[in-house]
Amino acid sequence: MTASEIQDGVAAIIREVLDNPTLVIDANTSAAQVERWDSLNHLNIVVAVEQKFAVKFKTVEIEKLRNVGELVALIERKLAVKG
Amino acid sequence: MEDKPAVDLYLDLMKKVLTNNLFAREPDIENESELKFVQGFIKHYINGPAISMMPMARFDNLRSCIENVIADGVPGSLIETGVWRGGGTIFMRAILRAHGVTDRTVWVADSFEGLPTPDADKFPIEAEAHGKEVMRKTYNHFAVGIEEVQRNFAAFELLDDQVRFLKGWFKDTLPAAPTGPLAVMRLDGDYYQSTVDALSNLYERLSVGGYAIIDDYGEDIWTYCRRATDEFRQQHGIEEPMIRVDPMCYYWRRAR
Repeated sequence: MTASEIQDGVAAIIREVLDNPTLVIDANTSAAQVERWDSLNHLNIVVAVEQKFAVKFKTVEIEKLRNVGELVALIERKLAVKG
Repeated sequence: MEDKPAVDLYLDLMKKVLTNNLFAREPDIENESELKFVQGFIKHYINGPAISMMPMARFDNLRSCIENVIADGVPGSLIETGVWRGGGTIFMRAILRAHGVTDRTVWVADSFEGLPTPDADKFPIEAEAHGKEVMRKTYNHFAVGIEEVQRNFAAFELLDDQVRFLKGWFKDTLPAAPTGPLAVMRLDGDYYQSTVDALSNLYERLSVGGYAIIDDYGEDIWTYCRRATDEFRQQHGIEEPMIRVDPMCYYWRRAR
């Protein structure tokens, strides 16, 4: 799976969780820029990402992420480890 | 259908209602991912009708400890330090009621205004957790007023003179609390200092044969509860083994 495909999947989850189908999301998008992306929805987004990509995160990993691009990169690394 | 005695039927029903497991299913602390568990924890307990956030395994442990001290004649009352909506202490009172025990008191100790702010220099991970948005906005630092807890007791017809409330910070309320001997002490104050304050003020009152239950002993991401417990046990020569209830909750039975 390419980084672009992962980012598309992540963006779809974010739009669904935040109930905002027209939200524009790129690698630089961060929670602080987006309405309703609070800590609770952040948790909902990350759990949905875990399920979609069959990966698991630690709280400390998630807390370090600054934007969508870093989340995509983290998913890429986890998928690479799984092989 | 299994022919359960009325005591078991009553206490099993209480357990399921207090933990919101009558028509819902609690998050799986043993098998779910860390984040999935937190998501389920918020939905099931914080935003749900649960009156305790203990999983059912901890209720089974609590019941077992109390029934053992009753059966073995271990003298003393029961206390929980840190009660949230009161579910654990309501269950304590229900067990006494179910067994017709009238000479033991349930002590309900809490600030009733949430967790105290940890000292950031001494306890950095606790201070960091304390300041997070989810702790402030979603958990509200686990603050539940004493009136709400008393209403919860009353809803189960268990608010009577065998229930006593200790309102305030543990360091202020526990030293002079007129508990007398204790048979079960259940510590759920989360943080290092709350655990130390409870152990240092209450353990000397715990009867031989009584139980000390540490709800957050296994937590190491956001609290130093384990360190507080281990230091206290070492300083006081407590060698009774710590017994696992689930990944977070442990207890020991006082042998001497």
